Amino acid sequence: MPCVGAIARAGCEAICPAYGAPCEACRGFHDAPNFAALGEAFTRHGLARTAAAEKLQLFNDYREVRAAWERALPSPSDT
Amino acid sequence: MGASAAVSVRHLTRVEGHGNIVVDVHDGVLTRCDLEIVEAPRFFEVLLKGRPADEAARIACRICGICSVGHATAAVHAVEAALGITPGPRLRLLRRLNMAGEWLQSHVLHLGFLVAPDAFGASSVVPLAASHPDLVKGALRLKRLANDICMAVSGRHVMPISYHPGWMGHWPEPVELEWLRGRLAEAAADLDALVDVFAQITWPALARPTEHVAALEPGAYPMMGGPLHSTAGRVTPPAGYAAVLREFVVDHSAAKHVRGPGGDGSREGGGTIRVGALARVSLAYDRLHPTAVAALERLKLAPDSANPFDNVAAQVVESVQAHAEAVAAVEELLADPAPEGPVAATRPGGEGIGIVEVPRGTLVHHYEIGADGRIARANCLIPTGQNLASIEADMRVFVPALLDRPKDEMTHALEMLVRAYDPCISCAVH
Repeated sequence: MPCVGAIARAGCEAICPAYGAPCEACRGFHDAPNFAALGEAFTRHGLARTAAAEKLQLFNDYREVRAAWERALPSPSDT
Repeated sequence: MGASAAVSVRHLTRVEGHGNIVVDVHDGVLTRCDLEIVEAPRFFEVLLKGRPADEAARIACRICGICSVGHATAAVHAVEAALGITPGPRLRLLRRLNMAGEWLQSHVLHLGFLVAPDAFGASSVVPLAASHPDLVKGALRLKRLANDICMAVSGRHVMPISYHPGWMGHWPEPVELEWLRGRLAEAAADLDALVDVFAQITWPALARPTEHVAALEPGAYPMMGGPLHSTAGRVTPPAGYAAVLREFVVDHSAAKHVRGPGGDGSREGGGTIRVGALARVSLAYDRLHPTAVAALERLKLAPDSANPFDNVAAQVVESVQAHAEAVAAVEELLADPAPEGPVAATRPGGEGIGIVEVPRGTLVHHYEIGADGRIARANCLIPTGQNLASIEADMRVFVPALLDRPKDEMTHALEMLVRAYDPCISCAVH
């Protein structure tokens, strides 16, 4: 499952992964989210680039996040 | 000259969401009698579009903070129907336990905090806590227990985490179930007191016979969905829901109205229907647990009542029913604590309808899922939308009987009528 918990703001004690659902970063991101490392982890586990991007859309679909994600894992047309 | 009156309640209090009661009587003629739904539409059906089907329950549950388990259950039922997944009996039982928790939570919230102030002459629960502290404290304890059931099963007090098509992401440990067993046993006294308190209340006599509708499942009190049964004798399979729950837009409401196929059969002239606790008691009182039957008798609730105010007593009966169901489910799950599932999908996509009896009535989620596993189309029918036409029809019967009363009494009586339905306007404008 595409989980974005590694860059999410904590405080929830990770109840979603604990109860069988992927983290969707409903509290936003921590102060220095490493989008590049997350993108690399997704790629390494064979998850589509779009799977991570659409997870971020649920609670964090704003311009800065889209740009950061695009820099971290450029879409095929950009490379 | 006939009587004239004008009532304008701009934002009715002690209901979920924003609605206005607007009544005008000129020279004995009722010219306006509307429950205006002024809360903005929230477009959840569009939010679901394009999302992976596994997310449906987690997105849809955000429609409501009070019946979030109901929305999650209807969503997961719809996805399972679309993907050809048939969950096993213990998976269904675990979900039923969660629904029982939510019924108790929602009914007690309505009874103890939204309705009780009307019955005991308080303007809200705050002065009621001073005048009737035992009632309010007992209701708070019951609500905490009910929320704790939902937390133990699905990870949060509201908005469950663990619902997936074919499985649950968490199976309660025996220690959690034993904790619930003890808590449920302690709650029996508070429930008994709740029945006593509501048995003392006399509501206005208002009889308007109309069709009552509920989704009945075989061999159990209606909760987890099935064919739509009505007191007019009609039985409709889930696939035929749109013909008997006919949605349409009216000018004064951001929530669609729903009518049944009765009346003159025209699109907007069809018969009104009622859904919710009273409708379920009407259609399935013979399936109530013995403790709930005892409560029904103490409350002197006639199962075939045509008085919408009796929905309050029916909610008390169903609180007892939900408690009894939770006790039984905990015992059954403890007897065999091994998790069940997951059940795999048998097709990548398709069309599915999920029906659940949520605290306020029959909830329908209808999805189309594409071969890519994403939701292509979603339609949700909310119980409050199904009751709106009935609420206004009741108001039209009630207003002439109130014309000799002072304006503030008339206003309060109409507010109580709307509250008796326990409308959730935020759900209705999903």
